[in-house]
Amino acid sequence: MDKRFEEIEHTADLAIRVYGRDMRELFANAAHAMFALMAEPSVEEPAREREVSLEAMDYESLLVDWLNELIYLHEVEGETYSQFAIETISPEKLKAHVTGGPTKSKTKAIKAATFHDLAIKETANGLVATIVFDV
Amino acid sequence: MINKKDMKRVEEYVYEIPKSFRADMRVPARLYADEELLEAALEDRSVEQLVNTATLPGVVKYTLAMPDIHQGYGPPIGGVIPLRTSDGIISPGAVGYDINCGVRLLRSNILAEEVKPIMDDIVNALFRGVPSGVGRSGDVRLSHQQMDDVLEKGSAWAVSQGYGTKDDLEHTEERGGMAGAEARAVDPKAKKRGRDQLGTLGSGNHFVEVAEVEEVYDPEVAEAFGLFVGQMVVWVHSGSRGLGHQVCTDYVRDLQQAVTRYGIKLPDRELVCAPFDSPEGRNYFAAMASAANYAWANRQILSHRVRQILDDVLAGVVKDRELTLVYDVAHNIAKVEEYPIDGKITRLIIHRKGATRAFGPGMKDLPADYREVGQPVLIPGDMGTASYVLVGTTEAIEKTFGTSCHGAGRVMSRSAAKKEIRGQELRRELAEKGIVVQGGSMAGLAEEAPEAYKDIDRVVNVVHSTGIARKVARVVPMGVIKG
Repeated sequence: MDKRFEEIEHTADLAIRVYGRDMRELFANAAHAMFALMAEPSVEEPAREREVSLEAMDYESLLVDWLNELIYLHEVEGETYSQFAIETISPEKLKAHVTGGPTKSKTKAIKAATFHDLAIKETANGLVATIVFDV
Repeated sequence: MINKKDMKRVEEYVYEIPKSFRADMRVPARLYADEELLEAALEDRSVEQLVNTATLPGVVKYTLAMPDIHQGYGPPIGGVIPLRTSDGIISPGAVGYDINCGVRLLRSNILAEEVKPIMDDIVNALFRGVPSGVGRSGDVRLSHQQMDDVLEKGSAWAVSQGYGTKDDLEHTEERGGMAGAEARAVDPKAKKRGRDQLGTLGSGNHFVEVAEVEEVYDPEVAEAFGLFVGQMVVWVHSGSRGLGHQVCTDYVRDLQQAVTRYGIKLPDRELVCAPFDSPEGRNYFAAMASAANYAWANRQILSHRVRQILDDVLAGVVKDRELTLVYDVAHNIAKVEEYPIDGKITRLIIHRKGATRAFGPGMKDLPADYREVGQPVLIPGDMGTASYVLVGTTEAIEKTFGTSCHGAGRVMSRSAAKKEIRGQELRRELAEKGIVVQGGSMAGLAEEAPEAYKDIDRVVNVVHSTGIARKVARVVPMGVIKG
């Protein structure tokens, strides 16, 4: 799929539409989209690596948890991630390995990913999700 | 989509969407607006979000939106949701991520004319001295015990550490420390996220503004608030930083299952909630109150910094450099208050999302020096136009659960603002109007451009005309630092 995400109109906050051929790609693209909005990419060696392991009640909750966990790590560890390897994913569980570097330049503070308007939908071209962030 | 024809006008500037509009509404929903503000509200999904709030279990009388209404996530910004504590819910999503985002106003005996010639120096000093911008940390480092003290005591902790005076506490909503806060309800992750952010402004719409009282509408109340024409005053707008964001994130996640457990049907998952009187509801309230206290301590430390910086930069310019707190209000919070419902005094948990408490004269929660006139209602506008000081009224208690608006309200999306406005250009335009602005990022500045906001004079006119707060003074910006 060519387009990974696009920013869509929202009066007060930030909203994106994310695409993926499958759930793994959708989750990875959502993370890419969020970091593209938040900070300049960081590729300093040695890379900073983190394991993310989450449990939730469905894919939508898992997607919100995933993005919020990355916001937490970005803020607390001072790191910006650019590679997102989703190792296992089911409606209730996610295991991922993320890679990045120390944050150099932040462009936008995202407070959180929200559940507002969130639905992962299947289309002829794959999956699509709309995510609203509080900024 | 909701149309004007779905609403009836119940009085001038008050529109009601009847309960019959949607099957899941438990009460009607009311919107305070004039024609133009109503048209603007109908442009995005804010009115639909207002209708959603009227479906929540335990909601009474009607839910409300103030004239600065705009689209949020969950409830609209400018929303007020009154819910019974006995059988109603409490919703972390309806309070939002920046718990106790709020604003305070400091007054001085300094004339604006005295400081205008050195406004560049003042703004530069504030920009250097007040930690601001995306993810910037401050110089207050908290031990675990100190963090728990901040969460349970709020501003009183900050004052005990030398950041301000006892008089500041008297002039802060809840005296800067909300009852019911329990540090144990705040997850270690939230504490970690907030450990080095106390005393920092943050980014987005947060700011410190040096301003001038341009006009006084009510001399008697203005005198009680210590305000006069030509006076220099200072606004501080910030919230609970990463700590509050994480508290909301944690409870929005954890309560998703409570919604199923308690059999609650929601029109939007972000309105996630639990019965107020349940273990989940009580825990969230304890955590939210803790985050609110963190926010009050934050604004207390920020205003201490502002006092130090101005004392320094104005030495040799003016003799009396004291800054006195007029008041500090929360505009994202849920609070237990009592109102008559069907002739019976009823305990309610009032959710205010982008709305300000506006208590009228005689309320016991007000400081002694304001009890006869009412609560200062602080309405910051955009950085190029004006802000207002209003006073709360008895009508607000009767009509809007003691609530008024909280600002101008956005009308243009951030992405559209960035496309249409260049930060540098905006800075130059404001400078031509005599307003000095410093910001962490030019793109961030563009997002907060005056054009992105509604006309504050119009918003305040609706509030004043409907009697839910009365105009006291109009304040115009001279120097602004944006996070």
